[in-house]
Amino acid sequence: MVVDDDRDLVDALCELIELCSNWTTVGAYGLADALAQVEQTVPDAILLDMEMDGVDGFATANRLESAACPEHPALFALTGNERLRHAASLDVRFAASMLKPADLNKLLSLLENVPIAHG
Amino acid sequence: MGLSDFITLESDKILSEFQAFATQQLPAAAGMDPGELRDHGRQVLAAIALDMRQPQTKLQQREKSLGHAPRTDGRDSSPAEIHGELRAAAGFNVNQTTAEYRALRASVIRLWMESGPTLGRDEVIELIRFNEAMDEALAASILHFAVEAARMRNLFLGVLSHELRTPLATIMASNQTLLIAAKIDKAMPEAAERALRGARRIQSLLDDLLDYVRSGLGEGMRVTAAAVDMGQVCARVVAEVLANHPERSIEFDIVGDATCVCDAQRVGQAISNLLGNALRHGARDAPVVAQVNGSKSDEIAISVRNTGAPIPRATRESLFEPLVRGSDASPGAYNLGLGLYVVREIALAHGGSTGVESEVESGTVFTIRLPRDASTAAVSAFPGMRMN
Repeated sequence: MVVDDDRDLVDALCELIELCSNWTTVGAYGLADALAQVEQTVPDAILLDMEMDGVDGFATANRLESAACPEHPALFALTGNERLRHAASLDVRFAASMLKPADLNKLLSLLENVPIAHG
Repeated sequence: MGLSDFITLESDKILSEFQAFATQQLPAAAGMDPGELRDHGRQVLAAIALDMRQPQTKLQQREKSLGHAPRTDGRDSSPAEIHGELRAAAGFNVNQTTAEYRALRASVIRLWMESGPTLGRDEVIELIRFNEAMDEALAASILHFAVEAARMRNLFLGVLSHELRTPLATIMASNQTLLIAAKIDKAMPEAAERALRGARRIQSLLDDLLDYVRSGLGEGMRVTAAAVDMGQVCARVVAEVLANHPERSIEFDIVGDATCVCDAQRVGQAISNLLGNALRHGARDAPVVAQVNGSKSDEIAISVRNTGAPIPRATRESLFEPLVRGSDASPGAYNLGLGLYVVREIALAHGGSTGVESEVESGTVFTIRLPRDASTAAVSAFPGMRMN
């Protein structure tokens, strides 16, 4: 699942990931959309924008995790903020973090290492 | 009467004079609450009078001249330090910040001399102590001003970088998609459209940034007014914006006489910024509604309405300012707000104004009001230097 409040970026990343891998993607245009979708089906991995419309990325991650409970999707942080990218707390909280624009090869190799629960 | 006693006893008179002087000297002070200006003056003055009454040895005097004086008021931040931070956050430049101290010093000395003090040795020493205390306050204020200004600049650059990186990420991902698609002879026109939209977003951010930096340098926004039909201007912009967002809808209507004299290119830019803003923040399933209203004889109003969550009242005030002031939240927590800043500058440059209303039922409406004939509008009086 790709979560960002910029629809074009969500669509672009979903399309690219599907084209380059065997993953099936869903896009969520913001936190409310993401929560609603996670309550229906928990994805194996979530690529999360850290800066959505004034909502703190860490708080967003917490809410998505409680919505996904008891399952634990792999959480990847995507940020447009260089300083946040270097914050130690980001690497503790997330499986990995990437600065926008994310490097395609890095993104694909991260996704390859995600254990697939749903097949 | 000694100078420190004079300052304490005559503080109201000094502050009135200071306030008149400062308002006259500072373009930005005109937009400042007079009570606030006076209040800061009062606190700085009180700290100086207190400092002057402290006994001081030669060594202490020397230390002070080197900027190593200990605190006498026991507070964490002196009034001068707070003053410097507030001025930077309010978008003052360094000249305007020092001008307040010049005004304060001039007011105190002029009024004291008018009171006819006998100028003996003690009075001269007091005058020296006063000037030392003033210099120290000024230095503290400027230091804190510089620190705060640097913090604001960092925040600004952080948010700018964030706002550029999102469309950049879209462009890169879409182009990688197109490259792979080309190899397998697959046409993906949507990816090409997305990349183009991303590039246009970066272009419009850079255009706004340029206008913002120019305004900060005090160059002003030049307006070339000519007779136009605002209905046609607005219809053209609506068509352009829709071409970039084919999945959205914008309703547009004209009320009354839409002919006016203004800078069509600039007003078009303002309308485009408002429409872009409404499409980004408004509900996606409802149309954005634009209206040109020429029903009043002396003005023309252009409004853009979107539905969706209303903007909190507290935030509304600062919408037209780039960055929310005095906040230490992460850069992602807000928009740079250059688009709306430019909208306001364009309206001001025409001798007009901007407004915003936001309610749950009626949605959010941004309105630009322009005089029917803006040919006499001077170059905009930019309210202050925001980049410091």
